[in-house]
Amino acid sequence: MDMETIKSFVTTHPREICITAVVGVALIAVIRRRRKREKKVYPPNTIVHHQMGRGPYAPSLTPFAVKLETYLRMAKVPFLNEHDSVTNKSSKNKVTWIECNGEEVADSEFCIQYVNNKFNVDLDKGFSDEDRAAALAIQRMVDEHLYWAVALQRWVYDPKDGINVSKNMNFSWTLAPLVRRMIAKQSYAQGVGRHTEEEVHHVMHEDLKALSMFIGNKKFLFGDRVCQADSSVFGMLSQLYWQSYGGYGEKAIHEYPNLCAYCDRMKAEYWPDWDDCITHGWTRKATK
Amino acid sequence: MAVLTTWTWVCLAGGAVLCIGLTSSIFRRRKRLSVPRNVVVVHHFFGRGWTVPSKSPFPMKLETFLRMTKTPYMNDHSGQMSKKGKTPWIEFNDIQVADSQFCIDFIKKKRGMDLNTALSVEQRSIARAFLKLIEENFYWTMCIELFCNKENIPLLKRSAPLKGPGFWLYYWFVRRAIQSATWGHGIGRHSVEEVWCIAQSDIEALSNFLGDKKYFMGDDPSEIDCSLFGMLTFLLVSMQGTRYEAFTKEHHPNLVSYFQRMKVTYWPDWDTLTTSSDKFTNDHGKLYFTENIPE
Repeated sequence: MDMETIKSFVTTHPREICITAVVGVALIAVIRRRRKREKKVYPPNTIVHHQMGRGPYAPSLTPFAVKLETYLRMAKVPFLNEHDSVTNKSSKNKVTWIECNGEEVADSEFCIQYVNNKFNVDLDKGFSDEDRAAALAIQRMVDEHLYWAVALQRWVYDPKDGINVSKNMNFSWTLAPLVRRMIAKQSYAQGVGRHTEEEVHHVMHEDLKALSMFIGNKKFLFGDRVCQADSSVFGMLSQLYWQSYGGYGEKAIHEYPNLCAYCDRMKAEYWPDWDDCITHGWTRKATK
Repeated sequence: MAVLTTWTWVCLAGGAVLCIGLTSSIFRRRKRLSVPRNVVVVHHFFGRGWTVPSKSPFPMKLETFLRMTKTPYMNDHSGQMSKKGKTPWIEFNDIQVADSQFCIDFIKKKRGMDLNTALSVEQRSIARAFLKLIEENFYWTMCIELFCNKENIPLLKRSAPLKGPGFWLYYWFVRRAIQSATWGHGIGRHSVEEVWCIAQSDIEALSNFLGDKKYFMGDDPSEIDCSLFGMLTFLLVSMQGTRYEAFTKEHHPNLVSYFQRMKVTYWPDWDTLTTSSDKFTNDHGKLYFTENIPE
């Protein structure tokens, strides 16, 4: 079969080729959907934390998985990790989700509320109503605003400064532009992505400054006892402090030494096995 | 021939849309105000509302800030959008700034003033956190409730700019825009009922933090009051009749009293700025606080 024959076939049968392609794609989609996920049997009353896999210098590439796992450790509830959520996503297309006794919950905040209800946990017990309200506001600021500045910096601005995102994140080089487009589009929809790079740096600093001023000399957000919002703050700051690969984010957080000290304290307190939960720059497999 | 005819119609329709767009933009440019120096021009894309001075909380926030600080300003209701696609935006001595918070930061710098001077370092940081709760989270829950909960369609019909079949085009367009924005944001991936749970947590947090204080941070107003007032205008007036408003009135009446206090203090002319009122006057181009224009 030579090129001429193939060319002549393609030009004389465009309709048949299109129909075959469409039917083929549809068949693949239907088969994939109908293929049942391998249902593993998990221990009862145990939180199964589905996440993306360990990161090079922090326990995950996404702040929300670090947040959720830190919270599970803070709450001392039985849990285990499944590093499968890249292919085994939640119903909401989020890569951080949990299941327990067959029940699925997606979104880190909903997961935390689920665990609080199921295991009767309240890390904010004893705090005043005003402090609990302030803690919620801090969680919103970190997860709904600072996150976008961090994401834009990592995926859109750092590559322009010569930082090799695909190599750092151990992604295929073909994936990085797709993720960059997705983050740019999502952050534009959210609002932060409409600002210039300088303006995004400004709002990142405003949020970091607020966190730094609030924590001050305290051990955790509200004093010597950790609260639920500490998991959000630690999750987000872990990305800046340990996984900015020398980019602007790392320089930004180092302008707030008390935030760096806070990260080190949270790591020492809740991640004594930190070294087993990272891949050390993709040089070895994380054992936990 | 049939294919050509269809394409001809498509081109004609496209051309018509282009002409209308160009004509209206030229027309809008003709209405450009002549502005004295050192006066902030606030561009409202939506103009005055039926029962509220602005349908969006962000122009309310910005204008409340200008009134709180007695900054000389005027409103431009000709409907120009900023380069960022954000509204409101301001012009000041030929400089354009978009995004309500950037506008406020710009005005503070220009006038050398700060509403947060009485706040401690910790209070300033809490205020920023609440600003983000209000604008980056709570705001979206209200958008989703209004446009993605079918139970609120009768409410929307009453205040929509288009009636009859035009309403459905407006509804579809705005709903799609909100769904797209909130999907990217993340909150739009939840069901309407899940978003309702998130909203209740936010309302409760705002109420618990406010307590029985006169203003959000204490006895004196501060910058966060502008944002909170703008958002409460949306919640308690634009969303009147929804479960969000009912929940707030029933379980967190301190937010309602706070809203009334702020309205009386900073918007005594409220009735002249809502199009449903007999006293409504169009303040396009009207100067406020002219006594504070520097010489």
